[in-house]
Amino acid sequence: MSFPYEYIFKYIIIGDMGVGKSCLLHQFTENKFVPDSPHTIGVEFGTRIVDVNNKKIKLQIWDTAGQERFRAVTRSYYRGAAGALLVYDITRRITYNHLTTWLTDARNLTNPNTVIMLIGNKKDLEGQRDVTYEEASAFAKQNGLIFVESSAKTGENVEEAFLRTAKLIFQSVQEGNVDLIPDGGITKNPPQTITDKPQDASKCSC
Amino acid sequence: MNETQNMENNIETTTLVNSTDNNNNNNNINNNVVVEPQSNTTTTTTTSVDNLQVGTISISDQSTPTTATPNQQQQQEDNNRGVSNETIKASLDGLKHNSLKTTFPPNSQHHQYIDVNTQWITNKLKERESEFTEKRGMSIFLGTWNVNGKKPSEPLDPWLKDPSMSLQPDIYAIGFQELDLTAEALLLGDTTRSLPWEQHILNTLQGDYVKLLSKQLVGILLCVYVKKEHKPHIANVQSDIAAVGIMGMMGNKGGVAIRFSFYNTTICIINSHLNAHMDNVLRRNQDMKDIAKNIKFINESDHSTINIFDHDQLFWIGDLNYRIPLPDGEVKEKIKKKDFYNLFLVDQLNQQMKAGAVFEGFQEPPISFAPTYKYDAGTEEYDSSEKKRTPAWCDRILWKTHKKAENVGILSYKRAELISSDHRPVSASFVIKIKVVIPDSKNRIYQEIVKELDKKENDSMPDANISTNMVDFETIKFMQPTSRQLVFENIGQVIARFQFIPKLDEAILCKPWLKISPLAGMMIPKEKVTIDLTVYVDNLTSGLFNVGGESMDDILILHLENGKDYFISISGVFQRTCFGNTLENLVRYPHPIRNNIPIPPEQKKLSIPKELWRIIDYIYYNGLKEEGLFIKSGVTKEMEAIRDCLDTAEPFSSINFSIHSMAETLIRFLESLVEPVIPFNMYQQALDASSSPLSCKTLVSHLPSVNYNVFFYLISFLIETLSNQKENDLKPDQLAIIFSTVLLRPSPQSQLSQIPPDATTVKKKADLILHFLISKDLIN
Repeated sequence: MSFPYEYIFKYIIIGDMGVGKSCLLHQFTENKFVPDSPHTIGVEFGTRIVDVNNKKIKLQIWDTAGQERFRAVTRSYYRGAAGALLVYDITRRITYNHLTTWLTDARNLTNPNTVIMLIGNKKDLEGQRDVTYEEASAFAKQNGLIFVESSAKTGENVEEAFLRTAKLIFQSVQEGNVDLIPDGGITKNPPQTITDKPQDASKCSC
Repeated sequence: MNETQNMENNIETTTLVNSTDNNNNNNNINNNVVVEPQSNTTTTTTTSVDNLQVGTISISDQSTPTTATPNQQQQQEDNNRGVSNETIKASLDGLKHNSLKTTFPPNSQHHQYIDVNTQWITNKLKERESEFTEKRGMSIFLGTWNVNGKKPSEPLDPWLKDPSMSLQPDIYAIGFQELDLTAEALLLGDTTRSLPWEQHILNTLQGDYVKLLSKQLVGILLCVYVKKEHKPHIANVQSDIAAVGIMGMMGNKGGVAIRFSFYNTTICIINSHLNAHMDNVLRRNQDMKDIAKNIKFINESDHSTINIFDHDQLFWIGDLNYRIPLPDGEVKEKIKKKDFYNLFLVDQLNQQMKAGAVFEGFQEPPISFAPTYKYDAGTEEYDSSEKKRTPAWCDRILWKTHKKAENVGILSYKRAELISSDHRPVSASFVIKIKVVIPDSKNRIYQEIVKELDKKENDSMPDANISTNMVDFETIKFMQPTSRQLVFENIGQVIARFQFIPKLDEAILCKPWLKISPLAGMMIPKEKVTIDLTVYVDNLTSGLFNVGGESMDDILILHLENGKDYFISISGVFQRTCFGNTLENLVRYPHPIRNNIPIPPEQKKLSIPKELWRIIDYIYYNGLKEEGLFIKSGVTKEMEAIRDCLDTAEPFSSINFSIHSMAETLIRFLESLVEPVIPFNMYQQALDASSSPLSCKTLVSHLPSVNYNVFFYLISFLIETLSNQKENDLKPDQLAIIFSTVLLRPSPQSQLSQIPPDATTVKKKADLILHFLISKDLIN
């Protein structure tokens, strides 16, 4: 018996305001780039089914608000993420400088097996580059992150970023490093007691 | 492949040359003794292990068929028990199937999980097949020969090989009839006679071909071979049989079928032997229909049943046994003159097909060869026996192309001069436009389809628009509710259910000074809901800002079920006030409280809050003789103006108000204190002390110094008020009741604050104050 998908992986996309988190989500789920899209105030939500090693996996992606003032609130969405995409804008160094804070949050609030991927977005704006590939690459290496530069506008490396993360999570599942529990952000289909959004389960009960 | 073992025990044998799956060995063995309930009247074997839902049905108990899980051990035992029982069971397959028809629904109708997503994707892919396939011409050779029980004795090259063809066929489908005329074959399922024929074919085809599958029903054998290079592109190989012989169900007459996907084209081949004799035309027509109806396969994607007509290309070969209803001499004469045209006009099959009575929609290549039946075996003479059977085109090859597929091209249709049987073998070659998948294109289109599906799924999530994410209440004053509206509109395609949810690890939805209404709701598409947000800072919450230094900010999470979450920022500026404050804090404000900060702890504090002094001072000079002082109500607006004056140090002369508004302001001020003049921790003590003036005096002497000052100052003022009793008509117990309520309160956290005080408590509280009002020497 086959199901439309065998696993559900929860992703979060984090990083400073305006680095292109929502654009990455839309590019990945809908192949669409919306210039001048409004800032996300809250948490958006998208899904896509992908093939990893011939297994169908549903990625459930939570795109969070980047504004500093929402930081305390968005933290609550980190819980249970199997993958975290940490995004900065290669044309604005300030967004790169803030990576450490984001990374600390991600490390503290997710579990140790959460795959964290560093994404330098807006690769299409090469002329305005403010952070070199080499520098970010070294940062990624130092912190044990996978790293890629992408463009949500052209779509370059967007698929790759999401899929590489999925592959690493899947590998982790196969190696038995990850428990298939809802809070681990990885759910084996058919889910037994798990709602679409873990938050519903935890929040509505109180 | 252990073919020998299979064939010893079976009337129908399926042998697979599919090296990829050793399980098929076992599957075949299973099929020896079981009937699969999913097939209506026939036994189906597929190359996919998944599809083998094997059940066993015992012939000895037809009325109550029992299903069993595939139990290898049990079935192995069954096999070992010997040939007789099991093979007879199998040989009577048709009978069993007939009895099953009424008791067993087809498997596809059982309730089961259907992967509708994959099905949808598969259908979409099928619709767009032309975008990712290219058509390549490939040839198929079909041969049929009724060998009349003979063993191979002559080379098959004249039949199977055509020197006129420049290229070798890509597929060979070779059918035999009357391979085995022995009773053992019919009753015991002995199929060993097929082996030498299969070997003979392989020798003829030499090394370029591999067997895909062979399938046998008594004397009817169908073998399919493909060029080695095509093997990886073949899938879903399945076979089935249908018996229509003696009693309409035994295997001496009937058909076997093999189907497979060749690249992206589906092909089904049926080899049949229909009932004999000149007069049995209607019987033959019925045979064909029964075979067509009874042969079933399983659609591997959704496990539904498919029939022979669900294929791109359908070929039907065999000894169909249709005759030429003319006198023997006339037929032979026309054969001699090669007047095949006039013979064909009266050929039974031709006539029946024209009449639409059989093989509807099938076509046959033009016949340009002499009838293939009946010869004296081993000679080139037509039947010379007493029966003198009239020559006929018994052996035929027909095809039917699906209306959505491209028709085949005819390459040849001929007979071969092999003489060992009383039939001559017939062959036909066709070119089929095979749909070959271009992997990159297919992958691209697959991605497009999945993306479309994802997009639809994302679109079907609820979506709503919120009028603003920033709600600024601007200036908020004490005890003055301020409201703002949010408009939430369902802009999605589905019903949107929303609710405000707390932040992580928080139990409450929002700060205590904010009220949200409604907290949850539902909107049909395009519907709007107005959400009211009200800020109201009262005695209980103003301390947070006045003393705690909290800023007026909050973030609300508005959660859309199965959708996104909206953050709503709430902000405002609370005007600091002496109301809802603490005595301890107020004495650190020598300057107006609204726009100043408290003095550092080391500087000299005021002895009592200056605001209290201002109120009492005003009443002292303007209202001591006022009748109903503290009894009559003030005016809300006037009291708000008084509060502003107190907080900004504006003179009272700048506003208009009645003395009663000022008197009530005094009571409200004392009531709003975060902690009353007699602190919460002394509440019970105070009640206990109320019976004794001395105890009351002791209690008050233990008050914190600011509280003591305030108490002393206030009591002195009240005593002074009472000295004007003649004018203001106030009684000590009236004032005692009014002031005791605000000076002495239980903590809002305590249970006492939840219930209205009883009469005894009220009296005790009043007594405490009354002692001081009537015994002037208690405070000094």
